[in-house]
Amino acid sequence: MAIIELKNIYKKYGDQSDVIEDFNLSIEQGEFVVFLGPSGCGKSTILRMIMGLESITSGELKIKGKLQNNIPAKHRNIAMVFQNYALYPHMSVFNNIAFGLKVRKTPRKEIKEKVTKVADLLNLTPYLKRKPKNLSGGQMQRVALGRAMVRDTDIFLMDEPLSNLDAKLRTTMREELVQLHRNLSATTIFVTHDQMEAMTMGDKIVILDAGKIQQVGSPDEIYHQPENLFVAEFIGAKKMNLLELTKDERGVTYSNQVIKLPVFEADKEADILGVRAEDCRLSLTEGYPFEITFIEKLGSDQYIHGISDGEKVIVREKPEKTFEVGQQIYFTINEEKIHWFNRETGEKVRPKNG
Amino acid sequence: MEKATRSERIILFLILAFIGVFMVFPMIWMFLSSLKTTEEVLGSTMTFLPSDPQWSNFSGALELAPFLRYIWNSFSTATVIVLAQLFLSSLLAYALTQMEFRGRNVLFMIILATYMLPAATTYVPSYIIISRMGLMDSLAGVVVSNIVDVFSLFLLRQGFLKVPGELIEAARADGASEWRILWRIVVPTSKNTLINAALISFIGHFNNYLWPSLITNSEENFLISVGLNRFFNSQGAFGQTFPLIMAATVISILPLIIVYFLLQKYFIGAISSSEGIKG
Amino acid sequence: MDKQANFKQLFVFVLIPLIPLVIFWIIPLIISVWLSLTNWDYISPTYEYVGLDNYLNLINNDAFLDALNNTLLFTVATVIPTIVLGFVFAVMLNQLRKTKGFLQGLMFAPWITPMVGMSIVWSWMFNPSVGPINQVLGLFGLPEPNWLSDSSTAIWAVIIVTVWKGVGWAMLFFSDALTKIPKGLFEAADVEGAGLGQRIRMILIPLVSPMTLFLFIILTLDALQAYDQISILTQGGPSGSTRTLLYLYYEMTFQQFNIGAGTAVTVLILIISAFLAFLSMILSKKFVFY
Ligand SMILES: Nc1ncnc2c1ncn2[C@@H]1O[C@H](COP(=O)(O)OP(=O)(O)OP(=O)(O)O)[C@@H](O)[C@H]1O
Ligand SMILES: [Mg+2]
Repeated sequence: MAIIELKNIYKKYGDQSDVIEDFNLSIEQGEFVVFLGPSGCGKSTILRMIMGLESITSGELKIKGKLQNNIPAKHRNIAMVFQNYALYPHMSVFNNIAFGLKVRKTPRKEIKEKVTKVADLLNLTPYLKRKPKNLSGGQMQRVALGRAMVRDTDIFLMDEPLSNLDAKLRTTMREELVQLHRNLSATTIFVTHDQMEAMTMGDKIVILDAGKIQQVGSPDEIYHQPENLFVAEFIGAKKMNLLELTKDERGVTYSNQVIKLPVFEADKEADILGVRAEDCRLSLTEGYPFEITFIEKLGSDQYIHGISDGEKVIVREKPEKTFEVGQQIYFTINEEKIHWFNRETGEKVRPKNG
Repeated sequence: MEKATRSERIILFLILAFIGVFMVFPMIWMFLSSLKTTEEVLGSTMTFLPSDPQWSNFSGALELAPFLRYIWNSFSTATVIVLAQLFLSSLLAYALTQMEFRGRNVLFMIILATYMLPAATTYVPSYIIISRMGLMDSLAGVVVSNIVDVFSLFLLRQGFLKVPGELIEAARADGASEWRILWRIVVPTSKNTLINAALISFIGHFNNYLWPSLITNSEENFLISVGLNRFFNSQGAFGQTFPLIMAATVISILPLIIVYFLLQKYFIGAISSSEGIKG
Repeated sequence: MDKQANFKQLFVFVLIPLIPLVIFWIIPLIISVWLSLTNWDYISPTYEYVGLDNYLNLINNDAFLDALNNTLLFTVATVIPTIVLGFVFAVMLNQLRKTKGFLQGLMFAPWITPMVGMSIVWSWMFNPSVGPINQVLGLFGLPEPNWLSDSSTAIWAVIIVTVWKGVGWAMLFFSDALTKIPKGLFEAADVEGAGLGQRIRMILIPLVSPMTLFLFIILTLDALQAYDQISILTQGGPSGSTRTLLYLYYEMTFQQFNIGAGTAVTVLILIISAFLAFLSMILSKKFVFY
């Protein structure tokens, strides 16, 4: 049974237009769900509605089958880690972690036990007496996590909890969080606008743009089967190459060469061909014309940027091959890895029985 | 804090509006009373609005004592005091924030300490000093003895601390003198702090009572509070002249009320910027 | 060009601004302490050193002990309500949106008015027969005290006026402190299940405590130096019930010309202030957390 269910959720601030539109999602017990989307797309807003910090304009929010729309935050029994930590500056680390327990009048002995255990798990034991101002970013981060973990709950909401950390610490914390999730097996919703974070951590990724769900799926699905142009461009170290197709008497063409189209479902039409950089190859003799504009060497690979028939195209190549900027060559496409889209709807167009 | 719902906000507004009206009630009542007749005021039934506004009470009050003169005295002395204070405090605040010299911190602590001490402790000796200077019963005496103002020094110091150090270093590198840096760079960048300090100080000196009442004797040198109190006492504490006293009080308060409504946002700003000056 | 100041600069930037401070604060302070050890009466050209006699006399003087008592009552009964009400009003105002500025303006207005003028108005508002206060109390069938002419109520009348004038000032300071508290802290507490009362007690009050301490010191120093309202409303009476230390000093010095005893009173006020200043330093160590 789904532990969190959002049905037809809308959100409006004042008399502005909808910030969230027709949001539908159900989350299973123990899942690690990542909300991914550009800044301002409404990730925090949804999280805050689930938490009860923001009212729901219309729609239904159910947790464990019970309608939550009018239940105040403090009765929802959900733990949340805030984007900017929101540590209480006047309390020691111990008291910050213990706050939620104290508020619920937990016996002192129990508080001490629980806080000690959590602090141990998060390597915070040496800092229990310190005030937040004397902690590093990573330590504050862990206190904020500890504050959520000490609570007796099985739902965690985390709003970009790693965004303020440096790259190295972020990687370590990512692993720790995943590990933690395995140990606690609590349902977690994790918000981020960093796709690496999303791809490495999530069981399920929810991609949002402008208040609407673009796609829900596993990291593999999101990467290999983008449902629309937004996802295709948003996901991946390099955005997907999108080639505009033209129609003439010979059929559909790109750069004056006829492209063989599959037969599409339900008589739909495709006018954009999408293909990832790793599914293209450069060639000196055949393919579509390609003029190299820029070479990006990454050690293990190199990305060759170029212009083909007025479009920007990126091709991944092995590091041993040498190319030069300005070179006029060709590129080819692995036909099995093509994604077809319709420009007007922005949607993916599926070939029949494939 | 927790966001109040719309209906909660309406209730809060009503409660606070009631309190707000209570806070300005003495001013409203004063104004209404200044327009009443003596009979209306002393009558046993409570009347709120004057039945027939007696605007003549104002001219009556002005005939009995030179209130405009008092207001002018308050205004002019407060203005001179504020200007002198800002000038001297700017110099000292600059030295305390941007210059290095031995004993800087000790000096600041001493100045901080004097702020804590009651002014009354200095009255007798200052009285003697003023009379030795031959400034007894003169507006010059009022000005000279009030030039010290530690509070405005704190405000300015606080403001000057916020001036970016690179700005001053760049000017020094260009060969500007400290004097020039202060007046051309630091003071213009701290304009708001100066306005705030000026307003707070102006109000205090415009309304000042005890000390000016000790060192002035003749009517032509009274500040408004001193003159008003003399008038109040000379009219008898309970009398037929009550509406006249109210009219006189209205006259004495009016200038500040006008200043307040024109410059309200600076007053509120003054509070924000003085925050941070702690014990 | 370095920051180290040379003599000429020190002369202009430090010594000149310090002249008034020295002439009208530091020197008078020292003279006052000296005068409090003499029996000078202002009129005679000569005076004698009397050691601590003035202080010893004061301690055995009922008028002084009463004044000390009144000062204590006046200080506590003005400072605490001013802080509490200022805080409550600020918290309530913080919930409002468009009307906040307007209401703040109304509440702060008393602070800018002259104490002398407004005390005159209040003295009539307190009038037992024609003043609006008793008329309103009468409407509700409440007791109608004689306010300023009754020694048991006079000090409360002075306290009411003082709180009325200061509460808007405290409210503005607290409003400012409240707007600087990150909103997320209250949400975090909400999420952790803290009720409104708990949030106020465990988050809000500790977070504004530095401001509370600051206001406590300023208001206490003001209360110790209150003069204008007492001088107009009650002149220390009836039967000395509103005579504070400062008012006693005024009477002794400028009415009885007992300079030695009068300055001894101010030196005592000074010692109380200095003690408070010291106390506040210690307390601020405990309170300052960021
Ligand atoms: N209190 C508010 N009043 C009005 N509009 C708001 C409010 N809070 C958020 N919004 C708007 O709602 C939209 C979604 O905001 P939200 O904070 O959910 O974005 P986000 O996806 O979390 O972005 P980020 O990655 O920058 O945190 C934005 O356009 C924002 O301007
Ligand atoms: Mg956000």
